[in-house]
Order: sequence, then C-alpha cells, then structure tokens
Amino acid sequence: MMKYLNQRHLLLPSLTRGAWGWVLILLFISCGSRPIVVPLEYSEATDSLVIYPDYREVVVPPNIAPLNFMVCDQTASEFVATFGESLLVGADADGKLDIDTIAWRQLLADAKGKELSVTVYAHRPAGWVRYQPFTMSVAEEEIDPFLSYRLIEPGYELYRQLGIYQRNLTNFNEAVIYENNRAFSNEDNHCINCHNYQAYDTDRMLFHVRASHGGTVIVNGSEAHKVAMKHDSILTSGVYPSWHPTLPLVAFSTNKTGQVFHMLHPEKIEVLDEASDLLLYDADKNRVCHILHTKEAMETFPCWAPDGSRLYYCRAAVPASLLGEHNPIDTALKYDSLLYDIYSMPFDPVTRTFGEPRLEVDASGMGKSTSVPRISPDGRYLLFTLGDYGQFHIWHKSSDLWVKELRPEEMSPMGLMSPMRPMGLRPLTAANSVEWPDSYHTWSSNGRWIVFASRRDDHNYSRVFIAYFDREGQAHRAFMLPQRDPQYNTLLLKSYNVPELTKRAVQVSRETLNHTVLHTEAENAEYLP
Amino acid sequence: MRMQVQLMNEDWEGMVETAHANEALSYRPLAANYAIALVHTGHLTDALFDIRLDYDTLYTHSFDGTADIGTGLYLTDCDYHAGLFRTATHHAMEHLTMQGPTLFSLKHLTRLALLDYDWPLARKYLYILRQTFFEGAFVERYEPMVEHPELVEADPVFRQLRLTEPVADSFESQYQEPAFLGYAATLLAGRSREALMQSLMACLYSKRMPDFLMRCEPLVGAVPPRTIAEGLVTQVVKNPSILQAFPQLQMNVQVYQNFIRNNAEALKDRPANARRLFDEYKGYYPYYYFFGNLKATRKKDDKEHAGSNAGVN
Repeated sequence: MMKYLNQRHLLLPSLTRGAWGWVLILLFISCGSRPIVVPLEYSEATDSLVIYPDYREVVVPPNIAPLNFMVCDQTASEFVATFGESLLVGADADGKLDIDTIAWRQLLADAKGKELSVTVYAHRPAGWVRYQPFTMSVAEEEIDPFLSYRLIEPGYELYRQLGIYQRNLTNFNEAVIYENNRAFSNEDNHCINCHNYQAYDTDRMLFHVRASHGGTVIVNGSEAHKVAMKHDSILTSGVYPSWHPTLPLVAFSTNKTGQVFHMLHPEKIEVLDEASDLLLYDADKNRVCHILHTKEAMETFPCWAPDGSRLYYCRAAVPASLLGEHNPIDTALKYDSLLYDIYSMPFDPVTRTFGEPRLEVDASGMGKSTSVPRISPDGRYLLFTLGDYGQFHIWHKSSDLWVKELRPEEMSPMGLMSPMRPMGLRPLTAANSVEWPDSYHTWSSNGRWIVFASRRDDHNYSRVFIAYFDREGQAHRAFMLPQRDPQYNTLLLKSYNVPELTKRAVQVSRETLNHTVLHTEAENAEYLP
Repeated sequence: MRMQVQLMNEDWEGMVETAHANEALSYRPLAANYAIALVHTGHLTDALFDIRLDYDTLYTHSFDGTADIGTGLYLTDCDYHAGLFRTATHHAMEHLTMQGPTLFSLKHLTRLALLDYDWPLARKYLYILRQTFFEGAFVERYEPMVEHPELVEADPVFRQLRLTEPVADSFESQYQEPAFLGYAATLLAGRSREALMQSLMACLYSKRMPDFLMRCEPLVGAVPPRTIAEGLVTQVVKNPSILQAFPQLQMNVQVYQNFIRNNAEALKDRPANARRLFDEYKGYYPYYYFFGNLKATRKKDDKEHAGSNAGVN
C-alpha cells in the first residue's frame, strides 16, 4: 500500500489563506479530483529526466508566464512536480503540467534573485520514482511584457494566411495585430513583414505590405497610414527597418533579394541579395533619401545606437565578377563567398547627416559573415549573428549569437588579452544551440534579456527563445517561449519570425490596420537626392 | 483520383492498369503518376510511351478559381519519386502553405524528414498524424524508423529512390521547370544506372536529342533498352556514327525507315493525324517524337499559381 505524505501544510499557506482556501479544497474534492500530494515512498530514478520544453537550469524573468512542460515518460500513469517549497502541480499520464498562473506569479515574486529547485515524481507500474531535481533561477529583472512576431510557414515562395501577433509574456494571451486573410483571394493576397517599433514603445510602429495593397503602414498612436518609397534611384522599397530612438526617422535597407533552393545541400534554402543600399525615411514629412548608395558594396540591416548617435549596419563587398551585367544565377553560385562585416557611422541629428563609416566587426577577415546588428540599451554591447557566409542566417546551421564589447575600457585586462576574444568578440555559448540556426534577436528595454528565433526545436520551424544576459555580460541558457499546452509548438506548422519586445501593447486597433491596408492607397514618399 | 489513392498505397501495378484503362484521355497528372509507377515496376525504359502524352485541353480549377493544368497534383510526387528530395520538400511546403495542412503534404514531409535523418522533424509530423483518424498504419510503418537510419535504408521504396538522389549540389533555378524533368534531362553525374536511365527517358520525353545522345555514351558496347534504341534510331540520319557505336541498331533503322515512309503524308499535318496513328504505333518512340506531345511548348496551356512572390516573404 502506497503511503503519501500529506503536504497540505506545505502547499497551502500560499494558496489557502483563511477560510476561502478551505472552501476551494472542498470544491476541489467534491468535483471528484484527487488532491495532489508528494509521494512519501519512492525510489530514485536511474534514467534522466526528459521534459519538453527543456526548462532545466534556465534563468527566467519574474514576470514570465508559467513554464508549463511535459514529462516525457511513457511508462508513468501520473506525475507530481514541486517548484520550490510552495507550489505543487500534478499531471496525468500525458505528463503535461498546467501551472496555475496566480500561484506561479507568487512563486516567482518570492524567488526573485534566487534559485528554485524543481523535483518531478513519476508513478510507474513498480511504484513512484523521483527524478534528479533541477534548478530554475529567477532573475531580479523583469522582461518587457509584450512580444510581437509574425507567424508564417517557414521560408519558400508562396504565402497565403499569415499575420503579426502580440503575445503577453506574463500569461498566454495572444492577440492579433494584423492578419492578411483567412480565405484566399487572388486579388487581395498580400504578405506582411518587418514589423518594427520605436524605442520599445508601440506609439510609433510600422510594417510592410507586399503584393496586393502594397506599401508600408506607419502607425502613430491609434492612427495609421500607408506610404511607398518608389523611385528610380531606389532599388526596390524600404525593407529592413530601424526607428531612430527619439526622432521621427526610420533607417531602411532597400534590397534586391531572391531565394534559391538547393538540390542537395542540407541548408535547403539560400536567401541572398543581389544589391542593397540604405535609406533614411522621415515619417512626419514622408520624405526619403539615400544614406548609402553604392554598386561596389551591399549595405543592409541598419540599426540605431540607443542614443541615436550612430547607425550600425552590415556591409559586403560585391564580388568583381558580379559588377555589371550578369546572369542572376551567377550571384547565387557565389552564395558562400558573400561575407558581411558590421560598420557604424556617426549621425548628426541637427543636420541629419552621417559621418565616415567605421569598421566594427571584421567578420570577412575571420572568413565569416554577420547579420542583424543590435545594440544593447546601455550602449555597451553589439549583438549580432555570425555565420559562415551570407546574411539570412536563420537558414544557416553555422549561425550563432555573438556580442562585441563596445566599451572595451570596461573589460577586465584578462578579457582584453584573451586569444578567444579578438576585438572583444565572443559567442553567447550558453544561449546558442549546438548546431542549429539562432538568429533574429532583440534586446529587452532593460538590456537583461535577449529574445531570438531558433530552429533548434525541430530543425525546421523557428521558435522564440529567451536568454538572460547578466550584468557581467554573460548569456545564460535559453528557454523556449512558454505555452499553456507544452505541445503547442509540436502541432504548430508556422514559424515565428522577427520577435520584437515592447513595453506596452499595440495601441492601434486591428480594424484601423485592416482599413489602412485594404482600403487606402500608399502615398509615395518624396525622394530627396 | 484513383491513381492518387493507388500511389498512396504504393500499388504500382494498379497505377499502370488505371493509366491504360484511361487511354482515351490524356492529361498530365495521369501521365506523371504513370511514370512514377514505371519507375517502381522497372519498366520506365520500355513502357513510358505506351499511353498518349498529348495532353488534351483539360484543366482543374485551383483554389483561387484560376484554371490549372494540375501541376500541384503531381509536382511533389514526381520530385519525390525522382529522388529530388529537397525539391520535393520545397513543393510539399508550398502545398502546405497554400492548401493548409493536408495528409498529402504531411505524409510527404514525414517521409522526407526520415530520408534526411531529421528525427525531431519526423517526430513532429508523426505526432500530428497520430492525432488524425485512420492514419495509424502510416504512423506504424514509419515511426520505428525514427533514430534508426538502417530501417530508413531498408525500406524498399526509399532504397529505390536513393538511387536517383543527386550526387552534387546545385540550385533548382539552374534547371528548366519542372525540376524532375529539367534536372534529369541535364544530369551530369548520377549514382546509379537508374539515374542514367531516368535522365535518358527525360531527354526523350522532352525531345532534347543532343542531350540524349551525349548521355548515351556510357551505353556504348551494351544493348540499350528498347525505347532508348528507338530514340537513337531517330538521330541516325543526322549522326551516322551512332551505328558505329551501336551496330545492333541496324534492324531498328529499317523499321524506322518504314515508319517514315508509311506516314509521309501524315507527317505533313501532325496534329491532325496524331490521334489516328496512336493505336497503331503505341509505345513506339519515333511516333512520339514526331506526333506526340505537340502542345508541350504552348504557353497558353501552362497556368501558374497565383500568390507567388519571387522574393523573400
């Protein structure tokens, strides 16, 4: 006969203060559910605990939604998990924990700056077993509560139903910012991409609409309008955006991009530019001009420094054989020789002019290539993706997150001299996956969290991961964006693109955006030579 | 539709029978599935032209209402059965995007993930299929292969398809569409005799005779399969050296000359005479060369899917 330790005296203080707690218990029992208790008699499991998602040894923000996971043990009929000393959660044979949000919040609030021990028990035919406990640390610092992303099938050419969504990171609520269509319409089908916000706020934001109803939707508070950047001198239109932190300016790249599909290569798809330049767009005056417009180089992925004093970007030299007329396939055939470095230029906000470019990361000198430079809010770190070649790194297994110390004077002497850290560069080893692409990253507004997309889960569908970046500049093990159902991502057949954190929810209504996209014409920006 | 079900059940002989039973009609999905069946029955090189390949003006309506020659009904399957796994994945994903998740695309993606030894991805798709009614047999067949590459390679269908998998990387855009024809017709290196035969048959189907002749070189000294021999014979007049390389073709040349002589008038108006002559010359490559698939290059019959974006989404 199995004996259980009735742990109500440990479970209940935080959950059942006063008489209401007893009412809850009575309701719980009267519904026919068995109270969850920690088994008193158990043996130690000889096999390792396997949970999905893998939330072992991670650092979490104190305001994150419950990290529901499933225990992968097909021999067990039920499970019990303890989180610290005050939270007990049970699961049926499916192993899925559904942690109460209120209890979870209290747990994390009490554990700020501390470690939580998590112990899982499994009820197997021979009896209960206890897995080796693991820890979960709770940071002092919160994460911005809203995360925007696009959901779209991974890569390829065609598109049908896609949208931009906003997730409340403190719970499981996901709201639609904009969706293109539910029922396909040949006349109305359009793609949407590159949502971007000014200074982690949603007062000013933008996203692009491609194909039917094309243009760039610019949002100002609760209003929106659509613009275009069509001019003979502009390659295509604005593509990758970056809002200036304080001014109504957006730096765009303009790219002539194509996709090619491998016949055998394990990396399946290559997305590459044939040409790219940088634009500066004035959102208040609807004016656009070139920042950089060169044939010998491709400039892309602009990113402002947090104080707006510099603009960072990626740059690759165009191979000599590709200057002038050539077959588009020639560019594709040189896909692995296109190496991007990171540069920056000073910006004068009064004259709105840029100074001389400065090389920040000589990736090509290392035989590597960079993409998506992002500066930490304190201006100390340059975060980027480093891969073997190219710039669309989400398809490259070699791509990992790296940082560069922008203020090396703050590094320790040992750090400066380390041969493993030339130019103050280092990989975020703890956050990176071993062999799968990690890319498209963003900082939280307090600089303590990095959110990025990774294909490490199933190698094909990118998922959102969150990693703590501590005050010593060390990244910690990344964890997957929690879902109410731990297997939600297993069933989801779309990828998460472009995760972006904001402090507030999107202000503009879906109806306003629908109207702007579908029923207004794009006003072409004035081009300033 | 019947052939698609037979294809799902790997009933290759049944597919051949269905194709022959429906010879009155000629349309691309039927022809494509017929070719797939011949790959697996080993009769690609002697039976491909046993059905009409004239492609009557038949089309379906795509989900967006536009006329469609049915490319989506066979493209993924043909890529897959031609050993072009990356390309098959490409089209299966496009199918999933445009049609939503279907058993067709999910099953293809499962098999392709297994062939790629991509176990987490295969598990994902198998998990989804396990939640679906009536798909237990599929899951039971393929789930044991996860984490067991030896079981993947032991599967008879996978083993057959591996024979024509590319040996070197290149890009789809380097080949004329559809890739299962364009790639095969311009094959430079293959890993098996099957790859060479598929390449030769793709050339014959596409009537790319210079490419065909170049790829016959490895067969010198051997007896070529019947259809390939008939293809060689059509080029003897322009290339008499063919008879030096294949002296056994002399008899075929006489038969070919009789064919030309007997149908001299018909050759003057091929579209008008093609259907009439089919029953008499069914399976004879020179008939196909002169009278078959005359519409193949007409652009108006080639409908494209809407919603495509040549750039990045």
